[in-house]
Amino acid sequence: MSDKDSHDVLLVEDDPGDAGLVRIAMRRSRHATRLHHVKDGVEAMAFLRRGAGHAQAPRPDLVLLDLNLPGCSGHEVLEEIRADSLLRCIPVVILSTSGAERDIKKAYTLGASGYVSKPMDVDAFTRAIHSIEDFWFGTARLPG
Amino acid sequence: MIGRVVISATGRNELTDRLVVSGGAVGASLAFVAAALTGGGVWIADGAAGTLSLLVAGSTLGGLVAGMMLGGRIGRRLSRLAVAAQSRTGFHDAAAAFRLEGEDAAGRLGRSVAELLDHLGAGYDEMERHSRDLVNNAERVAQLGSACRDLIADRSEWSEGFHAILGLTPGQCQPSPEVFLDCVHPADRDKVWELWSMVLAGGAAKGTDFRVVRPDGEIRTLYGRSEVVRASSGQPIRINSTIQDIGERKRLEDELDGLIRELWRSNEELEQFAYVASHDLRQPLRVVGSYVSLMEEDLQGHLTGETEEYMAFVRDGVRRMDRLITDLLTYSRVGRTSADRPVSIADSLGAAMADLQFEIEDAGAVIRILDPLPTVMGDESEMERLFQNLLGNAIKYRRPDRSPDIRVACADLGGAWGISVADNGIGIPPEHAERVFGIFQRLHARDEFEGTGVGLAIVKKIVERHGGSIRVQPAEGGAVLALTWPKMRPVVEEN
Repeated sequence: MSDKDSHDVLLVEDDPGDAGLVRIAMRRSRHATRLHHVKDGVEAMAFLRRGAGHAQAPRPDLVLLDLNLPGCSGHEVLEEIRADSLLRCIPVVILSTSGAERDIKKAYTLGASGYVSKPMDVDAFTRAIHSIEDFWFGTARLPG
Repeated sequence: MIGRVVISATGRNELTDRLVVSGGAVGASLAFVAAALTGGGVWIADGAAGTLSLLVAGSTLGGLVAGMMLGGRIGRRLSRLAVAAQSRTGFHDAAAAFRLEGEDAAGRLGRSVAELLDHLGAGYDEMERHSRDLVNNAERVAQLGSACRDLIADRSEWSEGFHAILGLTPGQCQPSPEVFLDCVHPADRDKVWELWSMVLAGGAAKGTDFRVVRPDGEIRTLYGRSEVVRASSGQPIRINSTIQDIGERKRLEDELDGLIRELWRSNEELEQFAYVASHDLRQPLRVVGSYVSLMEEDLQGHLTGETEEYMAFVRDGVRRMDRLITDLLTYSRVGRTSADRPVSIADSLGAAMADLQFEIEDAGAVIRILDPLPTVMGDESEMERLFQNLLGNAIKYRRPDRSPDIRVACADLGGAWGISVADNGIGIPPEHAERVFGIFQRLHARDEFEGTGVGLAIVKKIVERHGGSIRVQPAEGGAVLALTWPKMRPVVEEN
């Protein structure tokens, strides 16, 4: 078990509908999470580096990253996180509609901590989010 | 060869002799060269016959002259005949020299020899014209020109076709390597020069592409090929060359390159489309479906029978749309990510049955494999999908009154395997035997049998991609889908 009472999750997702589903799923979860939502890669990096507009941003315990983002892609965001010595150790789970082999392979090559295809059905979607939370905030040990 | 025969008859030296019959020799040797370099054999036989008639002609003349010389009665008139025989002229000039006045033996002999010579000359001219026609026709048809350069006499001969390709008129220029190089595009002259040097240095015939600039300024792309003929001492005595206008071929090659690029581009586009379909089209669909479900949850207890029905329609629409997109994607991906290697059909069938385990049990289906199944070249996952779709259909389209009995059979058709999947279901009416393989083609209402109408289209695409074919076999009391799959080529062991 993690030693924190509550976890900070950064969700990088441009689609408000999908972001809402993640929010609803987390609200129904047994884990206490604070969900921070940004809509593109540039904002995600600003949040992580506490840049403009995010001076008070907490360091997230987990990043949920969509691949299909406006501007730079999720793969690029992942690459930038892994290239930054201060951010490198944050777990990043890809959350994408794409089930394409090349997307999955590329994500793991770039250092993704996991890859989850967004299920079509809302119940399955909720279960997927819960199992991510269970693993990262229950089973796994996170860096301090 | 022709030259040598005449030499032995008249005692001329080889070079001048060749000049006497040069027309014929050039005609025949050009024919030979063109035949050798292009591989055309149409008129080799004709050339041989011509050579033979010259041989006969030469020997006859030789015999006559020798007979006269050795006759013993050396009169003035006869000695004139001897002089005539020794003159290095063609048949017709020689005939004129033999045409003596008077009714004595020498006069009659001379005139009959003259007649013979005229006759031979006419035959020779005819043969020469014939062989030239053959060369010219062949070269025109093949869009080919040939040239022959005598390195000892320092003389070049170009065929009509050779002149035509360069845009020159025979007789208006003196053929020579220099004149030829002048015709070659300045940027390609080194290339041609290099070819000649390489050929002269030894080895087999060599060829190269190069451009020429015709007198009207038009640039044409040619393919030129040269070979060297050597004396027994190894000394080069002749260069035989051909040129061919390959502009049309080049144009077609360029066109083909363009088409291949276009095909690549459209394939890329298709892949991009498949990707977009998998991601961008499904994303909003998931949002619609998910929020309808959430609304339904929230409105639990507040929905009337009618609105509950509407909700069900929305859910069903979303689900079907999702299946359509997924199936379309699967269809478009057949062959795109496949890796062909030996696949055991029995294994693929087994995997498909494992995937369909629920359906098989639910329907109480029996699947019987009647023959040993071979190993073929194919993509494992595609092969599995193939049987999944075929068995899936056999189970789905069953009769309500009997459980599915499915038979998988295999026959050796020589070059291919014939594999059939037969069931005892509702069958496929013969008039729909073609239609069932079309994409999104369905024979039944959705509330009768669920489906997108892509299953058999996918099967057909998989089979055809592997070089096989599939059809609905006419059958009573069920459907029989028969496919052929090419046999695996024997693997050649590499050491």
